[in-house]
Amino acid sequence: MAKLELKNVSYSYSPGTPFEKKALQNVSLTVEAGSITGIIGHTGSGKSTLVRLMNGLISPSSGTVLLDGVDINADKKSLASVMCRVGLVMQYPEYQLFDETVEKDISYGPKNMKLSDDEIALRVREAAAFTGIPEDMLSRSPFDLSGGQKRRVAIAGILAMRPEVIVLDEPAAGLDPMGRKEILGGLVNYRDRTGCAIVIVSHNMEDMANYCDKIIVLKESREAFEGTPKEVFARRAELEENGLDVPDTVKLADELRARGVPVSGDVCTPDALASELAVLLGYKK
Amino acid sequence: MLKDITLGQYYPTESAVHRADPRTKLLLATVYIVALFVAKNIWGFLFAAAALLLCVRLSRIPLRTILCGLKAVMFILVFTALINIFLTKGEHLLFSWRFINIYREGIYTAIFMAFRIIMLIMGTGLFLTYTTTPIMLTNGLEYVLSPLKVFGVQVHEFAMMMSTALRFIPSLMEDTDRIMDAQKARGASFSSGGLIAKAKALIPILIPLFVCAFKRADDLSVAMECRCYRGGKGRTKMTVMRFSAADWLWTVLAVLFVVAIVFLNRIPAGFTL
Repeated sequence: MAKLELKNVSYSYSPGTPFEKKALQNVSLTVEAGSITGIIGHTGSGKSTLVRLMNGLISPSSGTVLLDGVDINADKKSLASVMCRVGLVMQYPEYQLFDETVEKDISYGPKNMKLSDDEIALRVREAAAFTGIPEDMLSRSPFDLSGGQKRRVAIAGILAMRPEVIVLDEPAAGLDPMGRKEILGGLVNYRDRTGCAIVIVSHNMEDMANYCDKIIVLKESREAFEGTPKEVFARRAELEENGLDVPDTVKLADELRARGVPVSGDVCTPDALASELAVLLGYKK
Repeated sequence: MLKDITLGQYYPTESAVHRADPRTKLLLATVYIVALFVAKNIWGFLFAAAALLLCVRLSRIPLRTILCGLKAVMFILVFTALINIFLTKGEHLLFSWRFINIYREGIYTAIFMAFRIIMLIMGTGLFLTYTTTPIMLTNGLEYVLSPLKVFGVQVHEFAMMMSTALRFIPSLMEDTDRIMDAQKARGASFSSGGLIAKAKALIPILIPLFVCAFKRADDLSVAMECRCYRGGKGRTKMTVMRFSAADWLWTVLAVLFVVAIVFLNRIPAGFTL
């Protein structure tokens, strides 16, 4: 059974008024435990609406959202616990920091879950370790940190709740290459350790190719297609039609192929392309 | 939830009210406020209400949109009504218990006052925020207040501050929604618990909101300076205001409106304020 499943979900903003806007139409998707699912789509294709549906911040106009097979919107009282089980890291989450110290801010979520002080302290340290926050930073004010550090604190605040599904809306946008590598690497670590499911919305196709097991492409509030990164990025023309891009590696492979180098059509990571070239050039059998 | 509050938002459409010069609309709003305080009896109030509804119809803004703006002042409405009911002294005692005395005049005053506030908000909203873009409103204000320059008042700066404040209301609403969602996703609850718990639950919203507001203000001021904004001296306008024939018509109608209200005050009515 899928960890998180959306069945024929639609959502409209301001329904029944002249301002009605259909943000999602009949979208179905599944997220498996232990997997990393990527969502890509043009601006306004419904990505942010989709992630809000996943943790119950909004409930679909039609269709159902199932967590472990249970409709999360069936019982409004259980929504608070759903939000703890499906951790949502919103776009630019550094703007949600508020407390005096980094430690207190990270423990806001666990405190809302009414955990014991010992448990909270343990979880804060654990989450800080995953996101690469050094021990001495815990006692500092979150407002004194740099943008990238604030982002880590915000993500740690969600990890400390030990969610079973982590949904991240552009977790690495606006970070330097080092920062994005560390944050995404930390998330992969967390997944490996806990077996949770991760959903990432991003415009960075390199990251998507490197980290995702499955990619879902949204187009004008509907699902266009989905597949493994290899399958998705092999459909370059369709992606570019939707205003999306492919990783540079795919472009490089295409250029090589245009010049007669027989690289296969579904490489999308530098690692895979390098291996193929090494074989083709005769350095490796 | 917060999106329902529409106080101070421009409603884009084409209408006679939208087309009118901002100075005319400032005049109309002022005249309407004055008229509401001049009106003393039911006839004056009915006439003012009819005129307002006519203008709403003319503006092509759904009445519902404007009524939604009243939600924000609901508390003030109820509060004034209660004060009037309990504190107005009169001749016809309706109810008395210990120190509480309720008079018929009190009830009437409460009703009249409530309608006065409702029409005041609707009228100013209709002429100013719903049908005039913040920029035009600022231009109008600047023009109307420009005589104050003689006394050293920085009229342009004041008008700019006004329009920036208006411009930021929707942005801050959006920020609030976003921050509330983010904290909800961290298990926050804003509706459960006692008064103190509820007040405490607001801290995680208010602090990020202030941070956002300061950041926005800072960004805006830098952006303005980057485009060489140096205050009002020698600044020209992109849209030049023109007082047209329609504006003169509005002005004449406004004067007639006040005259009519004064006359309606003389008609005998059951209760006068």
